[in-house]
Amino acid sequence: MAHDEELIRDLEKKANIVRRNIFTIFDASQMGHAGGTMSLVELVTTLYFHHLKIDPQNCDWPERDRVVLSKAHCCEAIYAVLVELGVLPEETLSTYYCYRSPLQGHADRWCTPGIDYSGGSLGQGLSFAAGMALAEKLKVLRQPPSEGIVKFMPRYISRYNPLYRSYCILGDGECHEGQVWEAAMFSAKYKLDNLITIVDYNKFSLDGPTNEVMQIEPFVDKWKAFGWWVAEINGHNLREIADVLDLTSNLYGDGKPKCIIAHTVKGYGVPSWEQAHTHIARGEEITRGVIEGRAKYGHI
Amino acid sequence: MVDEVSLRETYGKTLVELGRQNPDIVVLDADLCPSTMTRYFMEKFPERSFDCGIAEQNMVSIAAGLAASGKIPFASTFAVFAPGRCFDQIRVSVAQARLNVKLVVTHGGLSVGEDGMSHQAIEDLSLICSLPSFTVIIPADAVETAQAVKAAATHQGPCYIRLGRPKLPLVYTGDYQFELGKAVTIRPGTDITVIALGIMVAPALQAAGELATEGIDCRVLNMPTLKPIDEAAIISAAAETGSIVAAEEHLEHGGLGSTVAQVVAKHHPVPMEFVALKDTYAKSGKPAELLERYGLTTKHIAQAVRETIKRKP
Repeated sequence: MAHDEELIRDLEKKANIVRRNIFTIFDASQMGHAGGTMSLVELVTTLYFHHLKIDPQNCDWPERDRVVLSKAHCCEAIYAVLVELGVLPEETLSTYYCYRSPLQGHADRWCTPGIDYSGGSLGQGLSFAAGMALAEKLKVLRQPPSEGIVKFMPRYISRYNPLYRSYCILGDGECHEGQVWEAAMFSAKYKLDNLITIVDYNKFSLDGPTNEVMQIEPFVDKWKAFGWWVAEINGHNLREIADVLDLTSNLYGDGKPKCIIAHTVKGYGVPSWEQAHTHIARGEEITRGVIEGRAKYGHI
Repeated sequence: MVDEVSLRETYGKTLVELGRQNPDIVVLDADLCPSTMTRYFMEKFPERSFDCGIAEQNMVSIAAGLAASGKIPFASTFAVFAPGRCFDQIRVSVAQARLNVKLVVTHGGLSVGEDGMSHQAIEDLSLICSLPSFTVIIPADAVETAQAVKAAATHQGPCYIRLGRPKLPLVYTGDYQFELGKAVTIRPGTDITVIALGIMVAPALQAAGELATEGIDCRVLNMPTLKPIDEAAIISAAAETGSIVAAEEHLEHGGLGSTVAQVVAKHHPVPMEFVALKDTYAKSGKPAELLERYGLTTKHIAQAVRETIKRKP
């Protein structure tokens, strides 16, 4: 499923726009989850601008793919995408964190169009995404009203495309939460092959290196042991991301939930944030990072 | 002898009835389906039943995801585990997201009995009522349970229904009409009002009967919907009977008594007394022994009425 150069070049341009929008958000808010937002840029760009089945004109389309940003504190990356998609007006970028803004501190399904999941408490998103994947499996085929009979699709495994897929973006530190593994067991039990989890493995949580704070390795083996199909990619390589996402779609029908472990760099693209493994940036740190980032990516 | 019927059995059978009518009804349990009685639904509709194993946190967030996709999930476990074990999931995934999840929990209160304090949910109503957007119902008997479960299925928004373990005497006959958010006067009276819910409703009625022989005309109000509470019924009770006793199988703090007292204090202050568990955990024992030891019987309600009436100006 080789993707042509043109697609990758287009995605590069989109990633650059997403970064520009993120810098606008941070510039105005003077505070934000800089590290974990920057590590997501290529992942969410490829997801939204290449892979997902969505309609920016109709965010509530019942057949849209669902996205659960379980690490909801990095919603800046999604807001940046939603602006480029035209779901949100560009002016909203400078209103993040503000009272009356649709852009909440943590993503909220009632405040922001295009958001499927209200998060903020880590560890719950994968369960929620699994619930949405499960609902897709339960899609009801209604007979003509005259017969008045309701029939169900054959359970769990279908060779046909799903009505929609459910995507969950997890943080690596978030995988310290036990509920992630409860959801992993559940998804394997109910053969949720329409559920795709992307772990933004940026190697750092708030208190330090993720694996020193609490070891999650051997990470791939864990997911495999829980019955998942697993792939490891470079989470900043657009081609690898596009390839693996499309592969997960082709594997539909195998009865396995999919986990993409994306190796990323916290603060990616902004030297001072990369160096400091910045989690939340404020004041001087955010101003400096935005200047560095804008210079690097040629945003004026 | 009045007929005693299991509320859990009624819940299980009502779920089957709902499942027949509406294909969007789905059921989740956390390895307790023979106890919560979701097993009836699970046997009848296996394709819409999901046993989550002993993982209540996951169960609640899964239910939220199902609700976000148009399903009407009923998730059941013991009252100690929801909200106790998964309060944050209920708060963030359900209440804040305002999703149409129905938590129907069983084995509420002291009447769990032998399993002891870890299994006696005496704080659940306080926890769940603290969450904006939740509707909280505690039925008094099997008739009310069936209707409350059906009302919850129709209501848009998060619901919590608390049932107990023991069979309870029927308070209502078949023609009873449960209305969400409405208290029911099950015995008229003018001297004092006993407001009760759940397993305390039948003892409250009995106490009122005994008090009548002493010349005390006691109104009994069943308050099946604890949240949103029927303020008008409470204000009328305060205004018309001049004193109130609240009776519940829960800690004194944060449940029915506290909520009624807030309404009374704000709108029509009158003397009040609280028949509830004082600030303590209980022990293992037979339900009747425990209710006696911790002050939750007909006798205790009657005594509270006598004391409260004395305080009327």
